[in-house]
Amino acid sequence: MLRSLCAEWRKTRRRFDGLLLLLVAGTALLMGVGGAPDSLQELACGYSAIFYTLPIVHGLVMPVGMAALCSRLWDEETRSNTAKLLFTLQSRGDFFAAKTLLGLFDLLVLAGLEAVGLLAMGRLYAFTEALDVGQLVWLLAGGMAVEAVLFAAFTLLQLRFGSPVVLLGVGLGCSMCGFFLAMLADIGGMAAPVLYAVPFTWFLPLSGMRMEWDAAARRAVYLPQPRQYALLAAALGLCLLLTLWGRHAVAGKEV
Amino acid sequence: MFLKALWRSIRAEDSKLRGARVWAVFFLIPLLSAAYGTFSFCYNSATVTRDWNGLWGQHTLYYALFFFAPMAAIYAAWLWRLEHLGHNWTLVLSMPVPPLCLVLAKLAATFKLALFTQMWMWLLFFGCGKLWAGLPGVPPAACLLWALRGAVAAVPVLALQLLLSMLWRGFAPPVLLALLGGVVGFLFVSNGWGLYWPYGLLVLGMNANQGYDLLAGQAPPFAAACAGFTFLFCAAAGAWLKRRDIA
Repeated sequence: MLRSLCAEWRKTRRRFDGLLLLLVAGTALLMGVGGAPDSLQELACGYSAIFYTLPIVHGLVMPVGMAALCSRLWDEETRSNTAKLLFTLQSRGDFFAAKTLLGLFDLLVLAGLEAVGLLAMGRLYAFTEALDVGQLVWLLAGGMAVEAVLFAAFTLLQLRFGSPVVLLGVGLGCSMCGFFLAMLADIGGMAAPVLYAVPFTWFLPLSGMRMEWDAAARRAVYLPQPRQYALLAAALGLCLLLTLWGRHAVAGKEV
Repeated sequence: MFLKALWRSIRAEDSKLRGARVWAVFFLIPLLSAAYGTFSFCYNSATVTRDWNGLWGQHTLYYALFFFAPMAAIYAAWLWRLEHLGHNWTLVLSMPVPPLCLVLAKLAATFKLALFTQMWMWLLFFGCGKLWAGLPGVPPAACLLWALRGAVAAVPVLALQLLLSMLWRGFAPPVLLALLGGVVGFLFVSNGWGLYWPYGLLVLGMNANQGYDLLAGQAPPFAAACAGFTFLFCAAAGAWLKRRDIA
């Protein structure tokens, strides 16, 4: 197992996975934060606004991001058609587990990059609101859980089709659907029940913050909302299920 | 001689698109965008004007900002994919075809796809407007012009994506860069600098989510920006290919 993990780690050296993660985190933060706050009111709820918008942005960016990450992890095997050879040279279970562990490590790095970026934004724009560490941890945990589901689902697609076009195409479609459902849920709560039925939109119900429009003061008010631990557990369960399915698919691959 | 080689290269690139999986992306993404755009148009009847221009705004808002550039990136990455497989680069570089021909042929093939995408998007816009939103009459000619302008604006984006996909052996990173480019393009356009960023040209060209023509009186600078960026990226790709050694 350790040898498989070392082999996978060596493959990352010339792949610049870090740059890819930086791209995903940078895109999400750029969209989530947008321009600089232009009023004292906005500075006073700077972190809360990001905690609210970032899950919506995740719904748009992460399906494509996870498709890209998964495609990247399997890139060498796909391009040079060496997966079948590797299945005969090393334990298939270890091979798949090493890829999965590396993917999870990448998700951790992604969450770390987002946390650092978020804190840097707070410093840069001098938010006057104190950072709620609990909200930050919940945002990262919820995001990582859904990203892990997406990663496991894309791994299955990769094993089935072996083509990055399918992964990226499905990722783009999921991004579009996720973002639209998030917007619909946002404008009238009309898609809210649908969000629970579509796992790649779970970023939104897992959000720790909601927004209400104060028409009298003409400003957005951000309020904490109950944390859905059951949905987080469901995400982790689904991720485990998809991973086991992927492992089974690898075990049954013909060479 | 150059034109003959270019024509042969274009036909070779065209053959890569026959039965390719990118056609699924071509059909589905504009379809999803049209479904959302029309739904949003019908739902927001209080805030969106009930005419073809209002529907155009809803159809193109997110399509131009976030989805068209990654689609173009998938087209470009697909056409370089074969070269990145195995030892195909050696074969490609040893063929008696000028390097620039290869780049221009790929640009022509992807432009054809982008043009078809825009036409498909316009057909969906027309169909959704008539059958779903129940709008009277036909769309104004300006909407067709904006769709075609979107295809023109796609040329520099395709040239850039072809350059990125050529340099980066992986399929996915250039697609992610296109998504980031679209987001940055939005910031450029909102600050009035859309002409200076290739991805911003898509928003300007398609007149995304605007009731008035964003390019009124600015057609020459828009055309110059498209031509300039395209020349720059194609020249860079051609120069890089010329210098690349056979491995």
